Amino acid sequence: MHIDRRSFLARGTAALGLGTAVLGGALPLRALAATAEQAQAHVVQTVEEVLLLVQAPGVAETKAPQLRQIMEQRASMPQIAQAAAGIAWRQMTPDQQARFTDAFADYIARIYARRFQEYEGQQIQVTGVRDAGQKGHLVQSSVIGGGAPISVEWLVSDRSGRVAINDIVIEGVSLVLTQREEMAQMLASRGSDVEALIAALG
Amino acid sequence: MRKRIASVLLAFLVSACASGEPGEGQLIADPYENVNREIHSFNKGIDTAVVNPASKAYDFVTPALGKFLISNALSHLTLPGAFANHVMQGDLGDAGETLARFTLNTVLGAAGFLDPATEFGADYIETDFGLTLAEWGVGTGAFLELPLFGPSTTRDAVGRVVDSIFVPTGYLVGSDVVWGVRALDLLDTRDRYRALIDDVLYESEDSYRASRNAYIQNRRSVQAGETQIEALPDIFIE
Repeated sequence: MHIDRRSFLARGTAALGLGTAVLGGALPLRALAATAEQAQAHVVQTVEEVLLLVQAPGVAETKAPQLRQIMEQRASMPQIAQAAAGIAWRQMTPDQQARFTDAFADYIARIYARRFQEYEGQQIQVTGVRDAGQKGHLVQSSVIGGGAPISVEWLVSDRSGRVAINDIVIEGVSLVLTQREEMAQMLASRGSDVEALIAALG
Repeated sequence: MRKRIASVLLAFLVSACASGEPGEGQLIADPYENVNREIHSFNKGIDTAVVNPASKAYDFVTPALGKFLISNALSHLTLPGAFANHVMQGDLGDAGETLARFTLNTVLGAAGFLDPATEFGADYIETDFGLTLAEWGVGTGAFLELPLFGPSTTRDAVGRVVDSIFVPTGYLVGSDVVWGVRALDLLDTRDRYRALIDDVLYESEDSYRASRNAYIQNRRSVQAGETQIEALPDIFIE
């Protein structure tokens, strides 16, 4: 796992010896700016909310609307939808933009409600926070499900006016970039018909 | 003999990696898309019929502790190769950390089934010969979908061949064991990356395009050693 390796090693080698490095992994992150702590807390709370939903009785289909509610509260869904639409966004009327944003949130919630249900029993640990400059903070976490951990990173900022998740990066793969590719493909295979795309998502 | 194979490969590589620049908005050039798509359909069929069910069975019959031990051991076996590649990349810091990890986990970690090294700050730093070639200035080349092995590039495919020729375990144990380890590695990998692989293969309308995109994003972050923040889209200015 290469998560936060540099700062981890820097702490370990700072004349404190290996013993400190061992503790370093468990100690709270030192002297971070308030927003980094907020970003981390935001991710931890979101994960807790999602876990509660996943562990609740019921099937994925009935949980999708609740997951969407969490996403709307916790992530910058309108901006994510716009970024996923890519250049097609500018070809949409304001009415189409609104309906696309709505359908996109439904579509993402459906996919992830199904996915999360399959991965019940896995644990997630926040392992560090990287400064992402203008983009805010990249909160790093490890998902542990028996084998080697999987890296899941959360791009968090308050640029929408509140602290919110703007992207989720699994093993280096960005959800926004992936969905932008998917939306471009879905639109192209429907002869660039925005209405057909919205219908397919909803 | 090995030297000759390597020089033939390098000659092939120099010619193969010259094949084209990615088009507008594309992460990678894909001049062999038609053939790649055929192979992708084949691979996806294999996943649906064999690999995915087998990895679910592996998950079902193997207790979490067993998976932990197996995953550690499989990762441990790749360390000598990773060490050699870090050295060839001139990254002695990562090479030293990899050597320390190998030593610690061999001695204190029950021959690699346990992982005390991570606790001591000697992390697993993923690398391979494809990334060594990148360090030597060889370009990514074109996208390639390899039968059974999945997404790759001309450069990474050559790296894969070289890595498999020089796999140290092959000299220590018989080829049956090597194939057994590979099969286990496949199940372990499919199981661990289930979320990502299922998304790409089964939630996308065009799984070929989705897997190509995810592969390139993942390789870039492995090459950089961490997620590259500048590569993430800025959703507030687009």
